Amino acid sequence: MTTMMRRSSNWISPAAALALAILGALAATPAPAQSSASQEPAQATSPSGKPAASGKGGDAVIPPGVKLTAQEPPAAAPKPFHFPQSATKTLPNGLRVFVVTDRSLPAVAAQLVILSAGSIKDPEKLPGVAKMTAELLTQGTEKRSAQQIAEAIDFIGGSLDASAGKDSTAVTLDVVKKDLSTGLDLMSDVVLHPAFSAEELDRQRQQLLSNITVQYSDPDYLATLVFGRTLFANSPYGWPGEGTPASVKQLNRDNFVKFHQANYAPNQSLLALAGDISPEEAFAAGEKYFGSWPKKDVAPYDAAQAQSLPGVHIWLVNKPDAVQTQIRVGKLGIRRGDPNYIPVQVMNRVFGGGYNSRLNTEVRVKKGLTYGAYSSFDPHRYAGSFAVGTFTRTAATVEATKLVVDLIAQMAKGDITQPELDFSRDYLAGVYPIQSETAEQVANRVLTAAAFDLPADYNSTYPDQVRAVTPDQANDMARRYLAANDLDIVLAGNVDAFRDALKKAFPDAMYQEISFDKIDVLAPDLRAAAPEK
Amino acid sequence: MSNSIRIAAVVLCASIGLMSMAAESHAQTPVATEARPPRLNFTAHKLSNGLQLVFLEDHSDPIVALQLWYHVGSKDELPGHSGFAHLFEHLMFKGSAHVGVDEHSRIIEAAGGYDNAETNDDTTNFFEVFPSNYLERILWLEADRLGSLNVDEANFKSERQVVEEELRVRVENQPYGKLEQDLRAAAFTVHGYHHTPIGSIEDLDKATLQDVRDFHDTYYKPNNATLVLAGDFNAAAALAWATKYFQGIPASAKPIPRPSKPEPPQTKERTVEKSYSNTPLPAVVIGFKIPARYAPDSYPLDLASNILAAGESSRLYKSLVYDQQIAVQAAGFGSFTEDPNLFWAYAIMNQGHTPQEGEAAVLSILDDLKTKPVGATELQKAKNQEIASFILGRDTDNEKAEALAEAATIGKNPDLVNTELGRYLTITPTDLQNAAKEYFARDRSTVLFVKPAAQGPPPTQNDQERPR
Repeated sequence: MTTMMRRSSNWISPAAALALAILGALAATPAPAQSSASQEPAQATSPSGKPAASGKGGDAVIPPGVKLTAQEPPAAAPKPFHFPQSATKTLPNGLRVFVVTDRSLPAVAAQLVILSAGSIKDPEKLPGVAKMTAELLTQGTEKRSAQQIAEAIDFIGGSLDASAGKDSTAVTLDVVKKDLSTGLDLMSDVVLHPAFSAEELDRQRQQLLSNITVQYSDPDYLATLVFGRTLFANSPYGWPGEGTPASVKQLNRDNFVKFHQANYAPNQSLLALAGDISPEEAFAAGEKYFGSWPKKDVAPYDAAQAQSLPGVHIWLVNKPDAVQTQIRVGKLGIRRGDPNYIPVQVMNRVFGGGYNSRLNTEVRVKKGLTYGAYSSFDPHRYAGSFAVGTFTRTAATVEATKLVVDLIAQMAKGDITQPELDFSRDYLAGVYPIQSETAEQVANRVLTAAAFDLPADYNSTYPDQVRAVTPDQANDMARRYLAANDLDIVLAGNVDAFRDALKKAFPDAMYQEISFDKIDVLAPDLRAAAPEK
Repeated sequence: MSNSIRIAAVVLCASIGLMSMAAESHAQTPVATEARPPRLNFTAHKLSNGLQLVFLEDHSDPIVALQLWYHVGSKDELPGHSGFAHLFEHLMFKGSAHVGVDEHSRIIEAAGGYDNAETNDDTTNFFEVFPSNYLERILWLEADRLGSLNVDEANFKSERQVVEEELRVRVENQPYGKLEQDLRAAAFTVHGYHHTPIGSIEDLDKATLQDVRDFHDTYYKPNNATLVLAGDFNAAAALAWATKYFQGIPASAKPIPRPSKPEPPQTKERTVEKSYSNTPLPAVVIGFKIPARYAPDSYPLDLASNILAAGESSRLYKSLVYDQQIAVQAAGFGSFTEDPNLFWAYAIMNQGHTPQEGEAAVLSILDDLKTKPVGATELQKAKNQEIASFILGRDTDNEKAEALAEAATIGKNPDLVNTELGRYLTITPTDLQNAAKEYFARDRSTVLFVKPAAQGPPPTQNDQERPR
């Protein structure tokens, strides 16, 4: 059951993996192929196509009796790829419905995205409301108990889940085709008529507190937590969507009723139906199950955005029993709607967006300091982050951190070569059909374009836009968005073993340190108040 | 393996639930059974050197998924060599006769594809998904590293460090990360399943470059491999290319060694107690010896895992997490592998509840399966979950290729992908009850109690055979 892989595919977005943290230890499975494709782009050196550049190898290493072909075969002419068609319609209550028809399997995936219900809408100093609101949707409605909902969805072998991200809440349904109406009936009921009962809240609260207890002993989680908080400072993007031990204890029914009332609105939502379903069927289903959802005014999001602080700021999270240090290095990035989004992704692919990037090549492949080193620009609606994530044995902490910062400094000079750029563009454009293989993947792209108000032809022209990025443009992005003099760095590990050497390596940085069991990200200095006697 | 992925996916989704009145209403509705996964119309071939080929054409997207499985996994490792199959997997990317260091993945990425590999108990699997016009080139790449290996001392040592970081991040620095290795070490005395594929740093440090060469020479042979393609290609052309690039690699002269010894029957319950410093909540894991993947009794046990742990209405979740609220997680799943392995039943306890309390609660739920036949509705639910996972779990070319590779390699018959669901659907309540009685027996079990360590004191250990 355990599977070990050459490279991990899910750690690059540690936040996404948190929910699996406990179970990951019990049932480690390879990440789905889609996620490895979507998250592991990139390259730094030669433009490939040329085998065995090193001059080693060749016939000398071929065992006796083995006959191999020396010449790398040519590629055939590429086949055209056309981004699948989708149909769309806006219902009278403002709900926008999208349909991707794909008859290859007798199954349908539905996804409702509520754009106004992300965790950035959590009340001041009370993170966790949006997420808990979503979790409680499936835990009882006005006419169904939690048990009845679970029994109904389990009986048809389907799944119905709700979760809140930073910018939106998503409710997803996966069912075989014949059970679509059963599934949509449940989905509609949990979104429109949740009960938010006190009893179910207490259950979910206990669950969440137990999960958080485990997460607060995991250096991976802690590094991401502190990094987000320090990067986004006091803006809502810096609060942990799952809440903190203190905030979760304060949540009450009123929070969810109000959040649901204020932020769940059809005119702020997108519904996608993908799979074995025609547009006509899908529009009728949208009307039948969500047509009665009343339109309402939603207060706009108006929180102040974080500003980057000048200088290098280093947070040390001390966990004396750690054998490895979790490293995060980064700064504020770009919004999803930024016109530079595609050039930035092309640039990042060169830097640290994939296995053969500069970052992974230096930190993992050449130096053996880690199992993986990746960078990402994660764009949200109103802000974004640039983050390098890696980890290394305690003794190599300073070496690895210094190497990451030096690579950022080098990249910020704007020295991307044409072969590097070609490699990045070829991958991002070439892998696009693979990442648009299933109806659900296509629907996700359609939803993303709609959610962030991207141009109507965004998906169909994406590969062309990638190929159009010039070396000047990519280097301009590197100079603009990377700077080694202005960085937030978080190191979570056995700090006593590397503190002094780190301060020698980064003499001008500003340092703060905290013990792993004293963290309260809601406090201005991140320090939990001393327990009351 | 696709089966364990499927099960794990179900387990991961498990959250909250119950079954009560709703079950009654289902009992009255006729059960629709027309939903079935589409048949996978593959063709199978074998080259004269023993390489098995399985092709599934599907032209809906201009892409191809390739799965190349070598029938060697961590169970084939000799004592003192734990983790070696996985270390070797990494080294397959370090160059061959005509492909430079890390050039393999660069060629695939430049094509707009992705690649990776995985090592488990029984097999080592290499895979790529790429635009279909590159198929011939990718076959050439795979043939080159099957036929030759070109790893030097520097690359070997550097990659070994990478693997050791992988071990630290997955096991040593991870809450509950040591749980699996400790359960398996106690449950298996001689069989290769007694250690996990990641192995130990101690053993990895002992590996030499000569070991690497010997391993390739012993196990990386065409007669020990299965190549599966799924997607947009022409099967006749693919057969011609596979023949052109792989035929020149001879079969092994000697039989492939299978060093793992059969595990002697367990006659007494074993208990182990551990305490890990980064593990704040108590836990209990019970491992029962079960039959192998594709064995007749694996099917009722797999359905039992649905009843125990699939969804919030499942029995373990409903009882321990929802009703009693003593656990934050409770689940059960079979690890169905080539040789008999373990059925895992476990609970991670809420604060203030002991692992012993968890053990009693888990065993009580398992006892219910032994003493009372499951109702028709609940059995139908378990079967519906199976049907749905066969349909939903075979969406991409890569998922289809993986299912075919497992059936061909472990099941020795790729057509199992089309027939296996039928085995689930014929299970009766009596079959399930009999399987529960036989396999969820205390004397087949190993119990691992995990206690949180206070900060500071060293881990404690206390292994014993507990009399019944």
